[in-house]
Amino acid sequence: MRRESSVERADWRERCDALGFGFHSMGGVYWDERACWRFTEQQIDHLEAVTETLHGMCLQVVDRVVQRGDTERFGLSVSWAERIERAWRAREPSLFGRFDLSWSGSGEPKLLEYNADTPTSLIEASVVQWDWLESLHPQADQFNSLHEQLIARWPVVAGPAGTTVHFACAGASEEDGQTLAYLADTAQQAGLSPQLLGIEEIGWDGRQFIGAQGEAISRLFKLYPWEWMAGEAFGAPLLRSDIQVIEPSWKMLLANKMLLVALWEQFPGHPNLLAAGTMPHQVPGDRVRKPLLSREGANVSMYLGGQVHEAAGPYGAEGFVYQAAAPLPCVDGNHAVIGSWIVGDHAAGIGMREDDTPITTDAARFLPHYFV
Amino acid sequence: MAVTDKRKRSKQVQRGPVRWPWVTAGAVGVLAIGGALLSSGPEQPLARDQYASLEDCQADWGGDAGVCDQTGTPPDQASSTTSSSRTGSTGSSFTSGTGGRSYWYGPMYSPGDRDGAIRQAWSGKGVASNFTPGNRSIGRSSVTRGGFGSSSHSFSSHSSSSS
Repeated sequence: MRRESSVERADWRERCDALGFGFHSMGGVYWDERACWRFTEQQIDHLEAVTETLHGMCLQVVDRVVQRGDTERFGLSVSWAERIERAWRAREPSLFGRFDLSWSGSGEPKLLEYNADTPTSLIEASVVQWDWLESLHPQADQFNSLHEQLIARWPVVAGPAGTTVHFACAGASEEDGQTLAYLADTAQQAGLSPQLLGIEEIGWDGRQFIGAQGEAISRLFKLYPWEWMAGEAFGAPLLRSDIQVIEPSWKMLLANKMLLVALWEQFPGHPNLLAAGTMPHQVPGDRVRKPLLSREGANVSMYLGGQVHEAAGPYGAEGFVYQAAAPLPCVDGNHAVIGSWIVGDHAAGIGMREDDTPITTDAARFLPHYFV
Repeated sequence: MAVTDKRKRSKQVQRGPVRWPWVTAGAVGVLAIGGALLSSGPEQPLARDQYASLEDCQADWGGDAGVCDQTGTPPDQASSTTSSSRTGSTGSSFTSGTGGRSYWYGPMYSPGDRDGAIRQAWSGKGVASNFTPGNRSIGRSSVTRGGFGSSSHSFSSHSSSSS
């Protein structure tokens, strides 16, 4: 695993736009093909196996939390805990998720967090870096079957061809809107009938959720955090509605950083996990403090060798967990994290992101990869 | 266990989206719609009339193709304002009223301006602008919107809702 300099394609912006990836330059540089990451096949094999192992352990955590009713420390009310239990016992299917891993190519990858509810960097990991591979490394390969696996997974999650699925996100986010549109495209290629709308447009008629044209919503893919929905005006109707939501509500347990503590308690010493606890003294030495519900590295504090790195943000009131530090590999000031995708129960590929700081934030850049 | 085939390029599979014009249009639609709805809470409910037949619906709303459809939701008992021939609906499917009966639905409108909405629907069709709208509906559903989305305004200064 090594970082290599790479020559930018002259027309990469146009190619990204043509693939529906219009936010390639958000924040200045987001898609960054001035460099790339090269892996060996053995390393990819290992990432694939680790990803599926982590996925299996996460499902075991959900099962144990539900069996024990141990949801209070996740910040869940009794009502929501009951809904999650129903969803889990009904085995409501999941579409996807992304594990963020710290790894330099040797030793064991370490789980930093699991983006189980609203994972993004999807278009770029799926079709955009594949386009890059075909342009610049046509003889090499890439750990990337995201597109095919999403299409194959949709019928399992949402039903047979012709089934209508509504797709919603916060309408003001370009990144979310285009990611949502890509997901809707994969659903359509699976034979489903997607209907796109802003999350703000969803209606409630006292009995059911309603789409933009007054139609009933029976299946909703939302690129919008569960905990936000639960706390908003329609949270109460959502609690009692029989609408199918994708991701399912049991993913709330996995998208919560308390997962890291629960994993460590259930699988202590596992080589792909980092020590984690709810109190600082449970994680001696270099450690990271993470808000239970933060996204994009917001409000994460990293304590390394007496130095403190902090990222700003609006989170933290919900509480924190502490996790042993596993600094990201850093090349020329670029701190690289591996985002490893799971679709259904199968590893589906990786995406590399780099930040100027040890904490991966929403300013991180996306770099393509290949393996030989 | 690693399965090598899962990451190999497949010549049989079309890699990459094949309907991007459709997707791009959809994405723009999402953004435009969302931008227009950046309110901080639920909006005033919109109403929609329910009819026993397509003919009744078209008689009220002007008869254009598509002005009436069967994709609405049955009015809740509490929100029903007229119920002359309706005996209640308990199913969750929009086509199931009593005994699995199907209903038709007119356009959505502000509850206080039903007459104005109907006059607009009839405009340009040779009727007087001050005509008295009819009412063959058998019920009305009330839809509140904007109950999701407020958190994104609180958190969007830092990042999107995704991760």
